[in-house]
Amino acid sequence: MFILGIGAAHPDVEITDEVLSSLGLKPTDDEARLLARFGVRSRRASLPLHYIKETKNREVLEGRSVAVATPTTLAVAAARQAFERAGIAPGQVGLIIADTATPYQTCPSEAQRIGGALGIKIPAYDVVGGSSSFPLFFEMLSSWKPERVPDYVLCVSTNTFSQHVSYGGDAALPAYLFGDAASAMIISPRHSGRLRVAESFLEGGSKRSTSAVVERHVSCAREAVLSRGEVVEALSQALTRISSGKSPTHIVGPQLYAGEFGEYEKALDLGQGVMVSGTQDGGYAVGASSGVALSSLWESARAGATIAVLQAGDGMWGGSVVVASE
Amino acid sequence: MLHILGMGVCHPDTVVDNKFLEDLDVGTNAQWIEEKIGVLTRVTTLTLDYIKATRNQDPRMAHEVASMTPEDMGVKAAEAALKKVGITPQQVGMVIVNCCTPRKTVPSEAVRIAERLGCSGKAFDVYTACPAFALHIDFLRNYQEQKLPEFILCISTAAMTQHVNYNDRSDGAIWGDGAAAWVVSPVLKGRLEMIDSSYTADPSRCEAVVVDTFQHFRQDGRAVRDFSVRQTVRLIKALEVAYPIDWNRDVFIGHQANRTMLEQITNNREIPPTNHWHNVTYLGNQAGAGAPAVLSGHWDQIQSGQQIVVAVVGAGLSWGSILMRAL
Repeated sequence: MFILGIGAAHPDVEITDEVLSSLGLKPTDDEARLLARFGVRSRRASLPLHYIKETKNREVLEGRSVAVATPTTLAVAAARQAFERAGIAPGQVGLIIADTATPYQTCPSEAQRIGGALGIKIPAYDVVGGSSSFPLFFEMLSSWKPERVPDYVLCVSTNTFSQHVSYGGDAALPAYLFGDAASAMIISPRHSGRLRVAESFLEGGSKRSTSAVVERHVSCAREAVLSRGEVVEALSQALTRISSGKSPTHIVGPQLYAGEFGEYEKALDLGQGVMVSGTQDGGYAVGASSGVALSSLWESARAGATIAVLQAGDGMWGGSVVVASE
Repeated sequence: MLHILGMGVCHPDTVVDNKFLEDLDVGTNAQWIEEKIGVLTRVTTLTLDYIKATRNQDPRMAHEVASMTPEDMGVKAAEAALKKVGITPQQVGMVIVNCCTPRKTVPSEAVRIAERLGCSGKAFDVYTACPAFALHIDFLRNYQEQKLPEFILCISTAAMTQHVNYNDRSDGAIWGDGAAAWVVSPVLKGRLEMIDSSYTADPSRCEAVVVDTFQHFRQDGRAVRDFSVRQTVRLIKALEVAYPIDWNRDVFIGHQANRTMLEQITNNREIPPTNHWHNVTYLGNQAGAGAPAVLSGHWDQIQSGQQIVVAVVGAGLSWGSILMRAL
């Protein structure tokens, strides 16, 4: 299985720490400790700054009415970059699978809205795996009978969490953590491309639920955040499962914990700068973030490099995907 | 070969009859509903007093007053299915869920239901709204069977009445709430063997049927009805060509959109009323839960050797079919 192209998209609006501070959002000491672990320096939002300042996004529907991007428009932008990098046209895709935690509509599915925007008439449905969507897509497609996988599959994860953040709420954590992003991949089981998927695995069994809840506004479940030791242990286990036994050239780590990547590199004897973040300057976009990080390596990863995308703990699973640059 | 080992359903207790809708005075009457839609009653998670007082003008209020969430119904349907099969939640290795009216979008409906049941395997949503029965079976048939766990729990749940504008004379008459669950195994033989399946979509028409996350359901009714009849007939014809289907023995289950539409389809394919199973007349359109709930409701009437043709359509626009054979 190959990744022929991968793309990412963010909205243009930037929310800096200074903006959040000016809104009166001051993290508590506990929140500040967690935010240091999450490592988000700045985040992208699909809401205009003046709207956030004036309304604090008290009403999610009002936010949608002024938003500069939707989950679907971000997904389409990411998909177009993936198509360009893959060198194929949307009409060549045989299946769209999408993941979103922030849909505007719960019917039709996000995949169908993306297909509609791309103008293609093919099977399209959502497979929603939250932060584990990246390994889920690969574990799923690699478990299918080869004849049931189309030549080209478009897999997308897209989220606009900023539209669900209450910027006037008591808890500053969601405001400082979340950003909006989409990532999209063109995957093929039979046409070779830039990245070859060497192996993938995904497992359930975690008793921890997801670290965020979205009803109207998003709230964070702090008790679901893994400790530093738990993340190191999960990463260590995932690395020992890599069949080549070699340390990857790059590691797209569990994106929620990007602020600790340097510490994980030391604890696991990885080289400095091996771990790649897709969240530090865009905010945490859950399932989209791993793809954003991998997309950032598209131009720079040299031939022969190996990239491990590791997910640990957040959501129900741990999982990994190892790709080799051809 | 995949088998369905057992099924379960959950429906709320509150019944909305046609007289109630007529009394809302929104330009409809019981006779019109019966003639045009063929639904006599439907069930709702809302209270009649709430519908009467508010016409559900703000679906966010419906969330506050509803007796059950889609998650609640999904859990109950799943518990019934697991009991029927005689397995525990811990034996389930995968949970997949379809829900077009989730109360929360994070965590996924599947994760929340799996946690409540005590299933520790993989759990994720596989979602397309009304044709979910066909999608879930076709999705699982994609897998190499040795890659699947011994027991897979599939659930489709929807509380569409929480998104109905009861000032609309048609929407209030169409929709009901419900959940259905079915246990699939690639290893163990069960009552129903999956012979064939299909699922596809035309996303260029995705705006024809819409449920806004916090607002009302809306659709291009005439276009959707024409599409539904035409596409369901095509799905049945394709299976009639590929397999020896005898409508004096075999059974048809369609998307429970409305009774008159289903009768147009069965008249076209000359399917006798005795071999057309449905529940829309008394439960309303339960979205993706409708067709599997029909099968669950007729579980004890299934005869060995009988083939069951499921042809379902819906938002997306999307459609799919299943051919199963009773052992």
